[in-house]
Amino acid sequence: MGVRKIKPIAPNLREKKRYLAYEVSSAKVLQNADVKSAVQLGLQSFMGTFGCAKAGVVLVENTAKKGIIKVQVKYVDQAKTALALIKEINKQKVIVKTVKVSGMLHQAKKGGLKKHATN
Amino acid sequence: MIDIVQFSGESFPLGFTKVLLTKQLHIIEGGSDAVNRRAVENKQVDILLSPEKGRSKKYLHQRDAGLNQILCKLAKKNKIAIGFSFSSLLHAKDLSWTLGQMLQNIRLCRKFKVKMIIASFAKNKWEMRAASDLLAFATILGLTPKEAKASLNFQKKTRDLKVITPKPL
Repeated sequence: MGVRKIKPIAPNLREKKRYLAYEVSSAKVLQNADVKSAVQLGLQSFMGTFGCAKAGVVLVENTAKKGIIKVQVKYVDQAKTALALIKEINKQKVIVKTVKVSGMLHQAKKGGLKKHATN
Repeated sequence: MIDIVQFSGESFPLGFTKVLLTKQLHIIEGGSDAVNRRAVENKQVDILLSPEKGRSKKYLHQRDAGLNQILCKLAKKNKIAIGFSFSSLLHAKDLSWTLGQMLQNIRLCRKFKVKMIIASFAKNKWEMRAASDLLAFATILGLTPKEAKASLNFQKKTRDLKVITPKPL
């Protein structure tokens, strides 16, 4: 007999999420891991541990220049502000700006890339 | 949407239609009670910026954020906007306290229908933030989406000119 899985939670009972694509501007090239830790720390310091838990923050993917985080619908503005409050990564001045907010991951990726290409 | 900055020179494309310099406007930076009071009493002033600035003393029974009902009424009467700077938040020693002061000032401004301005007031290009991020920040502070949009679209005060018609002889 195979392993029995429990039934997946119904879509209307799931948490409503948004994918936030962000872009990091800096004078010098940054490390991938540094950007990731700075984003995580920024979110934690602004929203708090409990706030992050409620918002269901997940760092989906990131590079040194851009990335995507997943957050609940109600906490999008808080997450945006938390990202905007990041001013330094590795003692280098940075601007973290949100490029696209979407309910679908591929749209967030596409939007982020498109914006990135035009700038 | 319009951003107000304190430096001239190149900046990042952040989604603003216009970037104004603080020199182009009559802005008074908040501070002591006397400064705030003088600013809101003067009709020539466009913006009273960060009335909560320099107020680090924490009282037990009330939050001192530089504004009260009297100053708000004066600001409303003299059509003076209260400015909230994102740059001051970036440089804040105690971020949570400064944010709390801003929240209180926003609450007062909304109650007394005082005009509010939210901008980066950046001293260099690295302190500027995207328009959508400032909009999110305004929402965080307790503004409705409509108010948030209005706070990012600053229009300079038009001086009321009296037209005097000469009396017929």
